[in-house]
Amino acid sequence: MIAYKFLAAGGLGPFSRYPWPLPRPGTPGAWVAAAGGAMVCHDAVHACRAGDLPWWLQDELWEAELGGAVTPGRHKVMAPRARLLRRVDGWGPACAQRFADACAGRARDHAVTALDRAGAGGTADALRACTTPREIRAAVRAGRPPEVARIAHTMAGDAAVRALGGAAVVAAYIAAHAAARVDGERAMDAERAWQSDWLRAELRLDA
Amino acid sequence: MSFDEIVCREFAELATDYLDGALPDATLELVEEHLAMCDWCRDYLGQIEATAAAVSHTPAAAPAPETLQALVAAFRDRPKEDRP
Amino acid sequence: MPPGTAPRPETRRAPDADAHLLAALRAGDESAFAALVTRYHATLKRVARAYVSTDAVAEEVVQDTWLAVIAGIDRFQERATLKTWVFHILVNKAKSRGKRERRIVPFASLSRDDDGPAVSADNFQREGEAWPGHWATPPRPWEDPERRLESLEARERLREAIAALPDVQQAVLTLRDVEGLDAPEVCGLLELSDGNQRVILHRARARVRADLARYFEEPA
Repeated sequence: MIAYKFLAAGGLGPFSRYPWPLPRPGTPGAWVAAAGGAMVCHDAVHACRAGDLPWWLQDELWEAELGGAVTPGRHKVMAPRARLLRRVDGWGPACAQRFADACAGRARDHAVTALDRAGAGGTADALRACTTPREIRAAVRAGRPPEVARIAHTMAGDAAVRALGGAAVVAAYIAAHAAARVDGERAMDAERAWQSDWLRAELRLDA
Repeated sequence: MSFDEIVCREFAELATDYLDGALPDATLELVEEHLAMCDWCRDYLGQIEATAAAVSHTPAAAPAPETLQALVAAFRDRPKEDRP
Repeated sequence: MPPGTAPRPETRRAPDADAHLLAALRAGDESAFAALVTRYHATLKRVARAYVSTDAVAEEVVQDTWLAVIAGIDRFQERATLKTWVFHILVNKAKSRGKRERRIVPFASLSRDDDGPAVSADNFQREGEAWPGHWATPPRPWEDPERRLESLEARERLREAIAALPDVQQAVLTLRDVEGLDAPEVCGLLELSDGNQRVILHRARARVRADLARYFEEPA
């Protein structure tokens, strides 16, 4: 089964700091087997399906082959072994920034929805007009939302701040919670699906 | 609305369980998802680790010299058991 | 700093690091005995202190322990390590002494959250805020902690922080992080459940961390 792995810079496991064997041209990386030892958590190698990517963003994205019986987890899959096939070159700091900015825009959209519903047209328009996270941050600071939309408004500001800091995974988290705040838990799932579709399209992923 | 997630306040109580590998799988999954996105909790975790490491390097206070001398004297004077 | 998997304290001793001492002790080697006492006296006292009412009584318990070690060294059967054996003698004597003093707080009763959470609720956002349960005042990053903790001043603050802990937390922290005993060993020695032992350890570490954080934030 083909899946994806995010690794820290240098091909290291983000939690374990395990140095993954990297592929060379024409040759996949060596198989890594879960030994239950220092390198992996609870006896399995972890990987992402495309739908799982937004939770795990890290410096490097790799396409990986999983071996053995694959078990689905909450937002990941687990397998007894895996090997890296190729680096997904499209993912890097620039792509992460574009994604973070997109998530900040989404959090803004959810805040605008809440403000419109609350009849706070002026505050909504000010946010709607923003085109960058910096503008969103400024608009949120200056805005006076009604109480019913206050938290969604705050969340839009938080997402913008995190996007400005390049923290893509946090901006994505905030956007997902902003969606839920405004439209309930189903909207959170839909927001995460939007995020993975964005990544899948941007990175031209098959799986 | 409550979500199936672990937030910072909960992780702050679980950091040692995490370091000991003592979390049940279901909790560990939630902790890992949280740590993947929370730099503050990663900092906290690192500080708990650094604290444990610093504690491990704390030199032991030596016993008072007269105490040590008295104990060594008792050792010297102990009745020796017959050896085969 | 990325999270790690279960790390070991770097000074964790191999299970039988003291084995070489046993032969020397049986041969009457005084410097070996002096080394043993010097090595463990302070830790034994910290553990004893969790059972008895004063430092002075803890000191007596530890001295009685060493006398028992002297008396028993030839008969020690090596079913456990020398270190474990010494600690077991200490705990038994401390418990007896604690009972004679009618000291009321045994270890087992400390399973409840008497002490409150390791990190106060004040540090986190509340219901009604945007992110309930998330850090409101997040921990400030520590720059180069290993190097900064090497200074004499830092070490003194650390020693004070440990000394300021409740006795039980000091005992568990000392056994786990200073002596490198693992969780099952500490549970066996102190008759604690795995969960209780870990809660106590975490509270101890969290308090010391907070003290160190305050130290790092003081103007240089």
